[in-house]
Amino acid sequence: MSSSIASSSSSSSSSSKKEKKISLKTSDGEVFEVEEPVAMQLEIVRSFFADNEDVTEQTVMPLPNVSTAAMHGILEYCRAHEEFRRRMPEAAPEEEVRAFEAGYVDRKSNEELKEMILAANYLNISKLLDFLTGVAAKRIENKSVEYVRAFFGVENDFTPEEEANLRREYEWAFEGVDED
Amino acid sequence: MEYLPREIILDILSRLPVTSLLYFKLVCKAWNNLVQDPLLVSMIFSRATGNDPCLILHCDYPIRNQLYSLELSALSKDDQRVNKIRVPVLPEFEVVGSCKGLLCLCDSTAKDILYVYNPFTRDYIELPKSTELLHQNPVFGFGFNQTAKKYMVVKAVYSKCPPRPRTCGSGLLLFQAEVQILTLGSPAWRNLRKIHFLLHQGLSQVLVYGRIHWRSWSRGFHSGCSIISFDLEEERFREVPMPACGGLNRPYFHLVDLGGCLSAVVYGSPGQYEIWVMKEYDVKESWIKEFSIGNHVPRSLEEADWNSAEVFRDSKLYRKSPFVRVIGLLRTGEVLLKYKCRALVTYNKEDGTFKDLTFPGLPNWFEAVVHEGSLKWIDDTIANDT
Repeated sequence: MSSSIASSSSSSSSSSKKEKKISLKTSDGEVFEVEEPVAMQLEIVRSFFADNEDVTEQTVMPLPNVSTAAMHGILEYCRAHEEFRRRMPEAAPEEEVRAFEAGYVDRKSNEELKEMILAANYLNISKLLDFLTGVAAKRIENKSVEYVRAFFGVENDFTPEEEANLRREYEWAFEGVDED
Repeated sequence: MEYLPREIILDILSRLPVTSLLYFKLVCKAWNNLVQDPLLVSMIFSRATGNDPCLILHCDYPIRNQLYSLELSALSKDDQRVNKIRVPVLPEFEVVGSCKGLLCLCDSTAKDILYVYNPFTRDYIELPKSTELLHQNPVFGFGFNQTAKKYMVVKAVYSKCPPRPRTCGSGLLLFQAEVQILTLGSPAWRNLRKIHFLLHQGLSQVLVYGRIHWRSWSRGFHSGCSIISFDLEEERFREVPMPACGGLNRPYFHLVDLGGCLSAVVYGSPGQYEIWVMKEYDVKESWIKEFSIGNHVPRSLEEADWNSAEVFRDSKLYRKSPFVRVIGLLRTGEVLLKYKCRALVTYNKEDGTFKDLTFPGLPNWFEAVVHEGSLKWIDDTIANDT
């Protein structure tokens, strides 16, 4: 893995003296300078810096599976959580966190949500991944089969007869509940 | 279009109620199998502990053998939580217990005929009969051996029906039961050592710490009750320490699983009861009185048409049901209560308030069993040696 590390001193990194920054490069070549405590929420980054002694502050870590758009979303979430942690190190202000998270995903389309899930999975941010998969579950619950196919990009490969048979077989689970 | 990897899709699906998963069998051929993937089944079980329970409602009036599912954990849509389950043609049954996606049912008249049934796949098998100990009145337990990864049924058969204590030299009364155990997938019951206490078949069994629990009498009806556990790995019965409250000496208490802790509901003066919780399993000192619940009459009971319910009052479910039964704990910390086969109510300990729950399609009269829903096939269960 270390062969793919671009160690570059020519990068645009001009880290501030006060706070240590870590440079992360997305699949489309943009370099993000991220405050260390925020970057360390990305488990892939944390273990990279923990396992490689020869990396320096100038090392730019490439993240070939993360787009710039997804990175913006990831960092927004991680920065907000770092801010909560800094203000209240003992216990996160639950209501504020919930309000932030609700607003955070409401703006995202299903495609954006999936892209974020893939990025969170690759970057190994378990808290964010857990949150986003929960959001995905809420979006598909009680939705039609057609909606779910579109959400996951799955083609219907049943013949009309097969689909009709399955519908008949499992219809009982959804049939209207009778009055007693 | 982004495509999610299989393990992420399973993670998302594991958060959905079982009825949604059944519906998603229609998505495509791969999903038809995916929703019954053993990995998904185990993910759902590990998630279930943090979720609100799914209840199986059992009705025997006006039609016998009617089952409904009630998904309290559904993420949204209050109006779609109750589903009627089409039950295969079985003789009239009682629900012995629920464990890891399966129900154990016993024939109401021929008590030696047992079924294991998944209400969501409608898959069921009849269990082997024991060649001895037929036509008796057994007490059952249904559980899962975590180490062997096998479902098990244990039964205690008392020599008389109803069991009658016999006098021994010291003047104390002793009970005696033959005990047999069946591992699902094996052809025959095995004999275990006899026991000398009278187990009481509760309305729902309590399965915590890999052990099934019963209220029991060890020495006649006047000497007080005790709690007996059966360890599914060691296949041994043991006495569990009782809480230090006087009420448990009377037979009017029932056991319940509250958030994974063995708990006892102790009835005091009419309409009043306490819930004691054993915070640390098998530690007598860890029993604490967690709830003290006062009188409440749910509106649907006040409004019930008792004349039309006359037949139901002859039903076995109704006759066995106490006025109030504690069903379990919700994620909010509220206790879920069931009043007389009729009303579901939550109790909030913080402000002492009751809330009557209503769901469209909730049957008028029912008994409730907490159930972990899954789409596991029973064939997998039996063949699974991993």
